[in-house]
Amino acid sequence: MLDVLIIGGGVTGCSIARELSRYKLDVALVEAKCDVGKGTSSANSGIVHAGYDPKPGTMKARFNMLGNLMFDQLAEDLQFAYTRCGSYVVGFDDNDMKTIDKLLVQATLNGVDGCYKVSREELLEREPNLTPEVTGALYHPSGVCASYEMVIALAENAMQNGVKIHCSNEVTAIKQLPDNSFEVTTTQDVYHAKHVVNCAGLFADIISEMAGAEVIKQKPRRGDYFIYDKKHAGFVNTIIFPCPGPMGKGVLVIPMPEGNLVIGPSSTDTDLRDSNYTLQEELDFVWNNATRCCPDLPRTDVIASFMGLRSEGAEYHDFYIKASDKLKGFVNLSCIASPGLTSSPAIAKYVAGILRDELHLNMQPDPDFNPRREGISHFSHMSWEERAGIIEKDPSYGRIVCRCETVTEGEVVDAIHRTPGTVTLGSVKYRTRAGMGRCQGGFCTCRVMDLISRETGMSKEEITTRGEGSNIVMGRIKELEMEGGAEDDKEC
Amino acid sequence: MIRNADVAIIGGGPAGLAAAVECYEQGVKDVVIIERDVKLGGILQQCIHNGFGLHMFKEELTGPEYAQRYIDKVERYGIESLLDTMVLEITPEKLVYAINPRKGLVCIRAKAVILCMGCRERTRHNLKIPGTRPAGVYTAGMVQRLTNLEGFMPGKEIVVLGSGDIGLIMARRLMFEGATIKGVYELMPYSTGLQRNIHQCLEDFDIPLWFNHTVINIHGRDRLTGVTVVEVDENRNVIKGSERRVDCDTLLLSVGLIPENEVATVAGVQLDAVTGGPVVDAARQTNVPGVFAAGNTLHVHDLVDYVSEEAEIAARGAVQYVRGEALDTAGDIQVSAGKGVRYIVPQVVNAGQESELYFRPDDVYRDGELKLCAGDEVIFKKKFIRLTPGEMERIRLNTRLLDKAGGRALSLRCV
Repeated sequence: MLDVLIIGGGVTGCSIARELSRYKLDVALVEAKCDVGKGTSSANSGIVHAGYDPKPGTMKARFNMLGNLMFDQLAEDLQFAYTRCGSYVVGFDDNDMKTIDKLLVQATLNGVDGCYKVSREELLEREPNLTPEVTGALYHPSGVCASYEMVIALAENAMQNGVKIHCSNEVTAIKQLPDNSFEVTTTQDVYHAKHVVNCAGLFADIISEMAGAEVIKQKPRRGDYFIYDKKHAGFVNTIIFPCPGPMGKGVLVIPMPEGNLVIGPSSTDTDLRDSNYTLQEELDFVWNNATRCCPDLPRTDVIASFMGLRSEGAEYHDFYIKASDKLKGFVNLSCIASPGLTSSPAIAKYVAGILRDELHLNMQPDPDFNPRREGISHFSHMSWEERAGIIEKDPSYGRIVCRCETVTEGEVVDAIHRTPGTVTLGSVKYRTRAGMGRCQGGFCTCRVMDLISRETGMSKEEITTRGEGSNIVMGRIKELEMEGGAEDDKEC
Repeated sequence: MIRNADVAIIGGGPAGLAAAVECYEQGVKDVVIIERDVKLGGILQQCIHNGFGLHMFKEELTGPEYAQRYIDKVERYGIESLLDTMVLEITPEKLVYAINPRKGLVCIRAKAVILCMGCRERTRHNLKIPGTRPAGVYTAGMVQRLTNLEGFMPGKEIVVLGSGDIGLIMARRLMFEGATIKGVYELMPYSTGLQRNIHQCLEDFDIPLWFNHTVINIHGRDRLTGVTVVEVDENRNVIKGSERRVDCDTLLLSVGLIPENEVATVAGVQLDAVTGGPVVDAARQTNVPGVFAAGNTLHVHDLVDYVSEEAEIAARGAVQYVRGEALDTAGDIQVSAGKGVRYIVPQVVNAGQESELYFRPDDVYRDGELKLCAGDEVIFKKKFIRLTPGEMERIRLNTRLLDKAGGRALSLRCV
């Protein structure tokens, strides 16, 4: 019998898994997709928000402020890409400047330190690619991280500390037994757990209803983005926000920690729960709004566009995090939209508190808990001396697999053996960045397939980009098929 | 470990091979080829169709056969090749840093460097095609490798976007293997590939080719299920109502090539905004003294024969540089692309040396005239029947024309 079963391997579920791994507990996490961090957590802005924006008194305000303060330590312990580059909310007129004043007051109310106003001149000096039409800005100490890498790091650290993570494992039924424990059936297994924590993101409402817990009204909202070639690193040095509006924080210009420039998101309500479908009109909206702040944004050198879905609350504009009143031992987390990523470490502590204090789970600290996760040794980040050293130790670090991102065979092999679920092109990409560069896998796809096949024994026909149904090739060419046929005949 | 070399050649594809052979034959024998793959030949190794070498050898060879002609010479001459070795950085002082699994960090201090890194393919994202991100959307060159070198079929029902040469060749190749080619869609009103490939790869096999058409949407969550194609008007705007869905499991993109110059840029090499390759003089020398460029790194070619020819020019330039015999820059003459011409390489010639001008028109022109002007004076005229952007043209700039130019800037027009 598990102490806790977590449903959903996004940033919320994996943060909770890691938090619970500090204690002597039997914890498992099930994820429907082939890898962790494949939903909202993989396609978002990656911003570690300062916390000036949420309405004072809300969970969003509280967890944002607390989460932000925990991020530097978290990134250091778990070794994922993160920079505290700061950001500006820029104004264009008197109205905006009034909004900025309000945000400054709100920052104080939310307990956020380090915000201050910046004059037009100073702003343009620091960010010369902003339009001269700006009138001033609010600076705040935010950061940006590679959110998919953070989720992977959280999952790895949780596993290292004893949590079992099972991917490609969709929940199909949840039943509470007479002793108040839960029987959770998935596409692969049946789990018994004293407590269930629902972190199913865009599917959290479905999971809650499936269990017979509360009806939660959430609505998905889409955000489309463009990502640029690293050669435009330094176009902006800080994250650029327009003044916030009713549909969120607006279209941002983001200097990602690995050097890519990202613009987005659009913000449109949708019925989609599971899609990555970019739309021309959304992308046009992103372009038109981003160029309002930065008119000289490069017209070429976009290397990809992507779309992410987030789950907003349909009835009230806050996170929904609470133990079910209807189903004792069941905890729901829903509507974890922005600033969900920033809040995730604080949410995890809060949920641990619910389990201990409200649900009376016996939580004894595990003295063997190790907060450190060793990241993959990114060859591209190394000095020449370090490079020479690692190749001497392991020659596979001397062979480049992805030329755009300078990823070596050694890193890809390491990633293949770390993956909790089925190894896919995507699982390698999100762990190593192979395929994330300007040629978008044109060079490395065949090479990564070779390595996956060599290391796992999978045939190339079995290899997918992101799990079942996304196979890369569809069989052998004719003469090889015939060769195979001839062999079969011989065996008969 | 730092070692010295007269000439370091970055890339062992057709350009690098021809450059190495030419350096050696010109008497500079301390040459090293640095190649990231485990064998020489570059992209030619996956080009198993024929049609290579008509100009260079007056024979019709396959890609691997063409490469082998040069590989045999490299081996016979004992020219050193560092295989499985990737160049990560070149400094303006011509220190070349590379890595290799067995040798670790390799550093070569070269007197001259010839950049022969080739090019990469444009992706759907360069075209900003919206839609889903399923498996089944591939660049033509990647599929060429999967099919010809590894023996896999990318899919069964195939749409080709773009009429680039690799796309046309792969359409035919996959049809031979039993795939259905649903159509080739080209945004422009003309083919961007060679005319001979339109005949030999499409028309001969009844594969439909649609000009003024493009793909504006991609469908299918896990694997591609279809694309939306549209017709465009003369300004390449979508004609409303012309949208139709074409079911397919594979989209092959043959929508252009981009010269690979990331290491060149770090070395301080200045690039031409039109070609995407370095700005070079008649010896194919870049703005960084002693750094030369040839082949698809310099500008994208349609025939490998011209890649080899250009690499030989660059090699002779590197040999002169190593010997301290480089031309006096006082004789430099700027060359520019005038009306109707998309680009010219080299961008600078020298009054003291005959040279070959490589150029492409910016549109299809029929029954017109090429005019080379020095200042306002037309110094050379040539009638043509048809010029197309898909086929690179050449003009020989001989001593007589250079004398006529008299040091004035040159401009080529197509009227």
